[in-house]
Parts: sequence; structure tokens; C-alpha cells
Amino acid sequence: MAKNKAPSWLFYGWMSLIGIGILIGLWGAIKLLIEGHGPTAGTSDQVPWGIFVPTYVFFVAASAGCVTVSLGYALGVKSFELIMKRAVFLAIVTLLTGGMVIFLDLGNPFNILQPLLSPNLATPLWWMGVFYTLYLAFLVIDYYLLEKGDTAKTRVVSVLAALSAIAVHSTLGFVFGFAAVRTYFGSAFSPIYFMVIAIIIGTALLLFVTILQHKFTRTEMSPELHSLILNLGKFLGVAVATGIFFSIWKDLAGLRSTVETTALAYQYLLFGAGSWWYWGIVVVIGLFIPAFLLLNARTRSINGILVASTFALIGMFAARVEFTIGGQVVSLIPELKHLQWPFASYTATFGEIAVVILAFAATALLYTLGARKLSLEEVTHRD
Amino acid sequence: MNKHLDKGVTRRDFIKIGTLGAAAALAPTVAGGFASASTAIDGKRLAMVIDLQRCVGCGACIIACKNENNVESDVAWASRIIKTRGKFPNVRYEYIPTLCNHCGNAPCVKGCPTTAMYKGPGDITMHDPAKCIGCRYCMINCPYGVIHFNAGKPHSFWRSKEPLLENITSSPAEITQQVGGTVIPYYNPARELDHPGTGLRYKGIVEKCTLCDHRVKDGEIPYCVEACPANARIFGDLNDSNSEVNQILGKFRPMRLKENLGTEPKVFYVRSFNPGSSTSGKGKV
Repeated sequence: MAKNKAPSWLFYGWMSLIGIGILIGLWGAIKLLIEGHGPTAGTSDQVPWGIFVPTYVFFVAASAGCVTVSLGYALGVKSFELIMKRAVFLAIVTLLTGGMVIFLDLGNPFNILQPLLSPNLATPLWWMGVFYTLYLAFLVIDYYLLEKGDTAKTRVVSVLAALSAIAVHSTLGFVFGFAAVRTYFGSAFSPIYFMVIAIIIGTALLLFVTILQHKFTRTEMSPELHSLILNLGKFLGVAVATGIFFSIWKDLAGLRSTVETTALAYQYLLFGAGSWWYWGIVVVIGLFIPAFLLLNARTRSINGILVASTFALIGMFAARVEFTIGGQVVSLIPELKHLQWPFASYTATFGEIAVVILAFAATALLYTLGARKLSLEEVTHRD
Repeated sequence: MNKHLDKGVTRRDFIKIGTLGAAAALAPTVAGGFASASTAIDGKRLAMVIDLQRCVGCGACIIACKNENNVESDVAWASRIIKTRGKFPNVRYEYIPTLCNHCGNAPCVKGCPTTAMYKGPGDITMHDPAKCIGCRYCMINCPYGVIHFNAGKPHSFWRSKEPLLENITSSPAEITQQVGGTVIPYYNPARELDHPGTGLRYKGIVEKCTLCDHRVKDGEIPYCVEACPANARIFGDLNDSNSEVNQILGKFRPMRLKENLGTEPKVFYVRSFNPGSSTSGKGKV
């Protein structure tokens, strides 16, 4: 089915776009590795986590979401077979590209090994790394078994992969929630919030990629896949609605907080100079439009789902950036003379954005190659 | 690890310098480094009391810290909060010197994935540059904003070819040339001598106040305390009931920054920078 190739002009156009992205990205990555954050990134002592951290969160969310949603397969929903291999492959790709961003953020390839040499078992950051590795291993085994067609074993490993996906992403959420002074991150709320967002991002990415690939290669969807896509679209609608529910309570609780830094952060992000980012991109593009398109039976067509999932992905990326910066935007100590207050500013530099472009271009490249070389739609049945 | 050191001044050179007394300013620190065992502060709970009424707001502590720890010009291990409140003539001016609080329950230590931030001898919150991976999670966790990230090449100022005043002063690069041509990014040379590999700052790692552990281990007080002209900084062991810090803490009601977070800061503030006065009366509706 997917063997049908895209018209060559479209394919070469797409590959050149990816190529340009990779080139821009490599420039940023090399600049970052040679010069360090100082000359390359817009981060500071007050905003130590810039756009790389939310980019990592976005990709891990995409990966974890894809795998959590495709739990349907392990639970015996037959039609999930049609997207299972694609979901696992996408999960591997996004997990790797997300890891690449953090790898570049750390600035030294050997740094990634230090947590093994001198571990601190008390921090969620260390466990996040452990779960990340475990999750990647389960994903690779899962894909191998899917390829081999060992249904019984695949189901077991799929469950393990989904559990480790939940472990890695909720732990990542708690990496934020752990910071007691950054009340904006929401303490125990953050792991739960992260999982809801992961389901949105993962489902949206799976739908976006599946539909786009069929449009690119000019292939018809099988009736089974068509109905699965429509059902997943409905599911994404519910997930986005849950996201709206979470956002409402998060914002209300934040605005009404008696903890000054929390209330100030929400006032700044929701009503300050940059509030267009939240209302425009996160709320309207990321939540309201997808919810409208997906929860309305008339607009829940293949095209409607494609638009909705694209918007959800854009909005949720913006939301990740907003979340990460939100916890750092209010200066910790007011009137400390060598720092900015009451608000600390951060603007992503072109060098930083280039690295983000690299992550997206690398994801697109790896997936495109995978889609051409591997049969992502055919599930092998040995029995 | 010791690349910078090997290229420039070696450990042996330093001993030579120290014994010859060629670098008069360095000699006492270097000699002291060999004299005492590093366990002198084990079991102590070192703390600082800052008497705000004695403080004159001169900032000598901040300058002294920069001198002692070779802190770059735009970075502050020690800083100050300055507040002006009220409306003339009823105004209050407050000056609160700040530094790492060496928390008893340090969030930076709890969060560090590699134990690069750790509680060292004397309950000092220490940082091991060799273990630091530059994830900056300590900066996310620290409630006081006292951790600095070396985002670029440290001390790059000394590589600048631009003189401060054209044809009048020499450029930083020329001065560097005069002293051997290598920029050695020391925190403090004494630290590198005592613990080779831990005395240099690198690109991509964090750094912060060490409570001058290199001095404290030798029985000296932190340099900011030493430099305070008003004796506003008092240093000592909380475990010793007779220590000066405990005597002051017993007399006054101390304040600590963000106590509600439970971080147990070990920098205490007593009294007020501006105690003020008011005329007697009952006020009105």
C-alpha cells in the first residue's frame, strides 16, 4: 500500500526542504558546541533553561504519546495493527531526536555518561535518564518483534514499552514539579499534566504523519485504516478537550494563587506583553480550533483531522515553551541588584532556533527514509 | 582536566613561586594550603550571621569575593538586595548582602543528577567541576539565584586585543602575554594546589560561592568576612554552643531568606540596616 512512491518532484522538493533544515541546524549545533551557550543561546543565569528543554519535552511527549495511544494493540483492538509499526517507529525517531537536542544542550558528548559514574538516586533527573534508556530499549525490541510477527511477545513488550513511556514522561514532568521554588511548575500536578499533553502530541503526530504520508504518496487508505483514523481523530478531540480542562484549572489556580511568584507568572503570561503567544498560539491554534474540528462530526473528515492535528502540534509546542519559560520568568529574589527583576527576559536566538529546526528536520528525514525503506503499514503475521 | 594548567603554570612552578616568595600576594595562601589537614572542619556546621545594623552597605564583601575567587566582572557569587520603601520624609532604605546560603536542606544538591553539587566538610554546599555536566538543574532548583553558568569560555576578557584606552593602556591580551601567554581560569590557585583538577573553571559548567572552603580548611575565615570593615559578617560553627554566631543568634531574632521553603539557609540576618525611629503617638482613623 505505502509502497507507492510520491511523485518525484514532490519527493525531491520535500527532501531539499529537509536538507536546508539540516544545514541550518548543523550550523547552529556546531556553533553551540564550539562557542558554548554564551555566544549562541539567549539563556542567562535567570533563565538557564531556554528553548532546548521544551523541544526535548515536546519530542519525548510525542514519543511517549504515540506508544501510550497504541496500547490499544496490546489490549487486542485488531485495527491498531494498521498503525502499530508506524507508531513504534515514530516513537523511536522522536525519542532519538529529542535526545539529540539535550545532548547538544549539555555541550559535551561525555557529559551524558557522568550520571552513570556518580549517580544521585534522589533526583528525578537521574531516573528520567534511566527510564529514557529503558524505554528506548523496549521500543527497539518492540519494533523487531513487530517485524518478526511474534504477536504474543509483541503484546507483552508493547505493554512494557507503554509503561516505560509513561514512566519517562511523567518523571520528566516531575523534573519540573520537583523544583519547590518554581511554584509555576505545579509540583505534583506536573507529571499528570505532562501525560495529558503527551497523549495530545502523540496522537496528533501519529494522525498527522499517517494522513500526510497517504497524501504525499497519493495512496488510498484502506477502509479499516480510514475508520481507525476517524476514531483516533475523535479520541484526539477528547484529549484536546481534556487539555482545555487542565488549562482552565491551571490558569485559574495560578492567577488566584497567594504565592506571589506564581500569580505574577500567570499574570505576565496571560495578560502581559507576550500574551499573544498563549492566547493566539496555545489556546486558539493549539486547543480551540482542534477541539472544534474534531468534536464536530461534520468537520471530522480526513482533511479536518489533518488540519486539527497540525494545529494541535504547533500549539502544544508553543505550550511547552510557555511552560518552561513560565517557571523562570519571575525573578527569584526581587531587587537583587546584579539581576533583572521583577521579570527575567529570554529570547531564543537564531542559533538556538537552528538547533530546534535540526531536530524537526532530522525527525522528518529519519521518518521519510523509514517510510521508504521499511514497510511501516504491513504487520507480519507468523501464525 | 589539567590541560590549562599543564600549558601554563604547573603545580611545581607554583610551589617554587610560593617558596621563593616571588608572588607576595599568593604566598600566604599557598603556604597555608600545605600546612593543615583538610579535615579541620569535619563535623562542623559552618554558618554566617550578617548583622545588618553594623553593615554600612559598602560592598567590600562583594569586591573581596571577586578578588579571592577570581570571579568575572559580570558575575556575582556575592551580591546585595537594595530596597527603598516609603515616601519622603518617611522612607526606609534596606541593604541586604547576599551569598550562597549553604542550605542545610539544599535543593541544588537534591536535584543534581551527578552529585556534582554535594554537602562537603563543614556542611558547606560544594560543587565539583569534574562531575558537573552543565544541565543547570541546580539553577532551576536554587531558590536564591546564586548559581552561575559558565556559558562561554571563562575569562575571555584576557584574550581581548582591545585596550581600555587607545595608546594609553595595554590590551588584556598584551598583559596576558607578559605573564606567560596562557589564561588560566582559576577559581583560586590554592584550590588547584590542594585538589588538582578542581581549581579551574570550564566552559559549560556552573559555579557558586564555596564559603571560601580553601581558606576555612586552613583555619581562616571566608574572605568576605575578613574584608568587612564593619565586622558585620560573623562566621562560625552552629554545632558549637559557645561560638560567636550562636551567641548572636541567641540575642537577636534572626531572619533568613525564603525560610518557608524549608531549605534551612545557614546565612542568618539579624537587626536592621535602618532601625529608624518614630515619634510617640496613637495614630488616627
